[in-house]
Amino acid sequence: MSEQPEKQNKLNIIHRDLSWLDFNARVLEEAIDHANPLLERLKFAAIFVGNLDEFFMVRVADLKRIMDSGYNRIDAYGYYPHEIYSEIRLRVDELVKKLYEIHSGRILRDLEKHNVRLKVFEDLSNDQKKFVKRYFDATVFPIMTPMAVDQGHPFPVLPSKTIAFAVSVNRDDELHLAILPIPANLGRVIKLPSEKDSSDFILLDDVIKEHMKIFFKGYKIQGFSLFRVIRDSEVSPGDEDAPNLLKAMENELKKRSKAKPVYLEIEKSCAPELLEALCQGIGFPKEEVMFINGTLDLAYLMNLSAMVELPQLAFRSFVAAKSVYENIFEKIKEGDFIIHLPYQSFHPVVDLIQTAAKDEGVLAIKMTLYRTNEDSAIINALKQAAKNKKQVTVLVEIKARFDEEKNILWVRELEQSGCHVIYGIPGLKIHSKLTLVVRKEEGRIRRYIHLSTGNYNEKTARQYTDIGYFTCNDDFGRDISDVFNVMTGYSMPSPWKRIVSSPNDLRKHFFDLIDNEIAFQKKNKNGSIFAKMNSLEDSKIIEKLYEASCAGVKIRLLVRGMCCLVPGVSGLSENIEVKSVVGRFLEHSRLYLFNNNSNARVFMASADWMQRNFDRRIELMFEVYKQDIKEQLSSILETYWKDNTKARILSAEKTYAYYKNGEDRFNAQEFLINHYA
Amino acid sequence: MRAAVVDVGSSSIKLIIGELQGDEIKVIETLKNAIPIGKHTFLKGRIPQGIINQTIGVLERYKQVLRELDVKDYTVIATTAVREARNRDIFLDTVFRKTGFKIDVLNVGDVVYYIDSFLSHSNKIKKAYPIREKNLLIGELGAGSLDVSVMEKGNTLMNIGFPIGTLRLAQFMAGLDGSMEEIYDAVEEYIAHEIKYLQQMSPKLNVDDIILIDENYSAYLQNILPNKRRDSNFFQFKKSESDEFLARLRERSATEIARDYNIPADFSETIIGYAAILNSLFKLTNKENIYILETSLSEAILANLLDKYEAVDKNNKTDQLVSVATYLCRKFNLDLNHMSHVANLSQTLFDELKDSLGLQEKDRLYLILAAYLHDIGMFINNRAHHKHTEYIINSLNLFRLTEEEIKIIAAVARYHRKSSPLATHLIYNSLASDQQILVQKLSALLRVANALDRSHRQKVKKMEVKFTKTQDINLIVYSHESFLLEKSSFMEKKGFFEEITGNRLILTVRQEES
Repeated sequence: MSEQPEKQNKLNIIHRDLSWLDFNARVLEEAIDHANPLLERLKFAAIFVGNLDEFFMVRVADLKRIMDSGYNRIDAYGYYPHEIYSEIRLRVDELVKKLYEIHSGRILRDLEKHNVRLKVFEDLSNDQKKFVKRYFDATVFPIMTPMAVDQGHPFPVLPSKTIAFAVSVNRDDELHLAILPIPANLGRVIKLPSEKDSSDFILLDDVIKEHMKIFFKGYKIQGFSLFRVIRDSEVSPGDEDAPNLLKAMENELKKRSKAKPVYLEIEKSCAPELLEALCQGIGFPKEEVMFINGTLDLAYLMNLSAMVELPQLAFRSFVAAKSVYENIFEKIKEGDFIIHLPYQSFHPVVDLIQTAAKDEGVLAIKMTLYRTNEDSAIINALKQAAKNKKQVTVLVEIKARFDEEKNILWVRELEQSGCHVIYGIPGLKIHSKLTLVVRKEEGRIRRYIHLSTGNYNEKTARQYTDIGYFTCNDDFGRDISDVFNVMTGYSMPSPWKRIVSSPNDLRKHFFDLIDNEIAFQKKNKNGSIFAKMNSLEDSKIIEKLYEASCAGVKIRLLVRGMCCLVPGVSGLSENIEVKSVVGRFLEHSRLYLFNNNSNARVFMASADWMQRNFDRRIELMFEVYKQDIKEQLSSILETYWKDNTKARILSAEKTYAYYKNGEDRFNAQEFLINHYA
Repeated sequence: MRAAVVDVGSSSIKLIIGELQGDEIKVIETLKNAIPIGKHTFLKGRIPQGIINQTIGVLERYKQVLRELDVKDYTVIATTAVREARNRDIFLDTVFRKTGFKIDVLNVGDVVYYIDSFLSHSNKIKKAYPIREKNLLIGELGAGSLDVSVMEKGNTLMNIGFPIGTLRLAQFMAGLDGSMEEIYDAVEEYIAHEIKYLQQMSPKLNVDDIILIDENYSAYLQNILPNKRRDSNFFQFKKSESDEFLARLRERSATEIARDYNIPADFSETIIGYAAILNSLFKLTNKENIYILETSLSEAILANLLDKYEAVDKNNKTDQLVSVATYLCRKFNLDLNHMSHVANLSQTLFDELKDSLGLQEKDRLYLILAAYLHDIGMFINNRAHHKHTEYIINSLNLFRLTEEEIKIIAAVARYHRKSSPLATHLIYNSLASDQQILVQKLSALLRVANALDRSHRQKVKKMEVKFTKTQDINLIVYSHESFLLEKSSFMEKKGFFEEITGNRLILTVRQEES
């Protein structure tokens, strides 16, 4: 392959992994931003850590697999595997360094200003020491088991994200290695008895460290060090037996603890021989170890922020605006409407299922469940509906990443209560969020539909911005009914009136829409596109957008996460602007607006402009026809575009930057809270 | 009111659920699954176990959908691919045992009957086209066969099934070894040869228009003829368009058709057959237009199920069958006046004696058709014509009648003369014993009715049936003419009737109407 396209690619496109790391860097910025209340900054730091773990478990794991297989060709972004891997490591090192600077600097200092302290054992008062001793004896010690590593005992299998001590002990002049994992089922942050108006905490690892000797009676402890391992999370049950997907998934999850390690962090103070033994035991190259000077796994900050009872240090709480109506069915019959989460209440969605479960006329409820919360009111309502002899069909995508174990539990419950549970189509992930309620009204069938950009999860409905659409328009009814029949394997698809779906038609549909704008631009000079999504990565769409930009179409993109497109490059993308809003709520809604010769066409979708959304998932998009909703959606887009506080602008140099100070500050999310209140 | 039709077709199984909303039928759900039953039946003659299992799997899922939408009123039909399978009965039985679905296997006549009934009663079509004022050739093109009916001002004259469905044509073509050009010519000849039969049946075929029922291919006309517009589901297709359509398909293989015209693979292989059939219909009738109606057999049956035509249906079935019978009388050069007179007399006897003979309403139709057709065997030979009558009737395409019912009609007609059933009579003996009794009762009535028009001069102007105090049955006929011949014939034929009824039969002839 010639060098030319490689260079070209590197210029015209941002590597998805680097772009993703940029996104996480923006999350980290939120942990620094003093405009954010302190406890929220803690959360952002913890989210950053969680995100990074996930990145290693999926993306880096992928890359490592590629490198291990000996594959060495440049990828779509112009990088060789080892090349991008070292770039990633470089970037991660920088970010982690910054994280720890913030952690030991601002975060802990600012907490102290409010009399919140994370203490180490030596600094505890006598009372606190006694408390810790009791806690250790009663709660911690009984459930911990050190594991020896020697010829008879191979290195123990540690599940991903386990934090453990590697301990070198000595008896009869013989050196032994032992592993002491920190129990994951105990809270990592322990609240200590504290003086009035102050809150003291200690980490579980510190408590254990202090009592290390108890585990190794008769041995001399030579040294120990804390470490944490992250493993490849790829879960891929054989696709050929979908009915047993649940079983297969359980088996795969068991295997996961043995999956290849992709990341290893160790305390910087670790002795060389211990490091050697540890790396060998885990099977991880020493030169890739991340040395941490301080506390491992800052995800604990999430727990800490929840345990500090200082509401003034959190975001001002707000009550999601309630929709006022008497009966959800009557309300939907009055006309299509949307709810904008989290500003507006999620209640109509829960209400729809709960009402349907009890309603005499309701014959059937069908739903896709992708990620849901524990003790979900929706799950309970579905179980109730099944008991009330409604035909309940639940399409479950148990491959939803990292939630598999949780999913398996509630899926079993649904099945036991008589719901008809169907697992995803092998090889395809069901990503669209749909509910269909079939109701008999005066002898006739009427179908109620809820379509959403977000999951049926009451918890995330308070943290993610999503848009839900309610309708009983029968064109939708027929289409959605058919979508379910296709997804459950009940039927081949028939032509749809209102919806477009991947993996078949979605990309082409967008292409046609973009081509339209190019045509209008040529004719009337009014081609424009305005889109909001989580990620923009599909190279074919990017090419198409470049083409449109070159034709003069004005393109505004709100891309919260990774964005592989480079905006503002003359001769390539000078008519494209990209902004990313990262703030209090996770931006999650996807909206697509095409000017269409000043007769805007507005679409809602479950899909991002990502290859996996177009090719490997079942995603739905539909056009909004109702004028007031179109205006509402377009004004939502404009509101976000006006943000100059939480929005970052992506430059032609592929870097993100805040707006300069001095302008009137406008925070779209805060504005919307007040707007809907 | 909600109803559903499951159609076990040649290349797919479909479910359609509809609701009556005002005057219109609103389809609320359609499901489709590709199961290639026809591929096996047409090629190997039987449906393999694997396909039976797949069918059962699909039907099980449809059952769930019927439950979900609370549909209690449904029918399951099958067409050519099941009808022609050697293991049809095993297939039907297995499906019934596993799913509880009793499949109604439609014959050519049934298919056409439903389509005709749908056409004649659909308000939408009536508005668009004066269907009851025209002489029409109506074709329903399936994967297995082309089912054709000829209608005269709303009355069916005949229906014929041709084994030239699109899938069968594709299979035929695949079996030919030649250039594309040669293969296509062979197909054309093959179709022409089949369709010629229509001309033989009706040399003076007088057709105003052709209506082709098509739910599959018309949607792709636009892909091949970019200027073709379909404004509704009922539109005209010009001869010039047909020529162009065919020309474009002829020069391409199925793969090229799929690629160049964006046609799904399952249709790209068979659409050439569709084009060839259209072309041959144009040739047959010399018309400039064909009307294409985008609907399906399932929709037609659904309309029927949804009560819409219930009131008219019963009459319609009799009327349409009488219309076919009348057409047959003409075709076989029978004395139509005699036939319809005997049919009328038979009806009167039936109506008056129905209860005392323990007959049911549905039996009337058997008697009427037997009355119309009892002399049809004369076409072969006037000697022993009743025997010829029996096998001719037994081979007719009479719609919405089961094989048993057709046998009953054939047997009733056979016994219109002197002879009575014997152990050697195959058709009679293949009937169940209650059906055998029915045949005897109806043929006894037919004999009397036939005797009353012995001269073929329709002397009876009116007839009354009265029971005397002693339970004798008195037939009072009013006639202005000498009734001697009829009376002697009556005396000869009444014995069978008396034997069966146990009542004495008396004939009273009156010159004047009372």
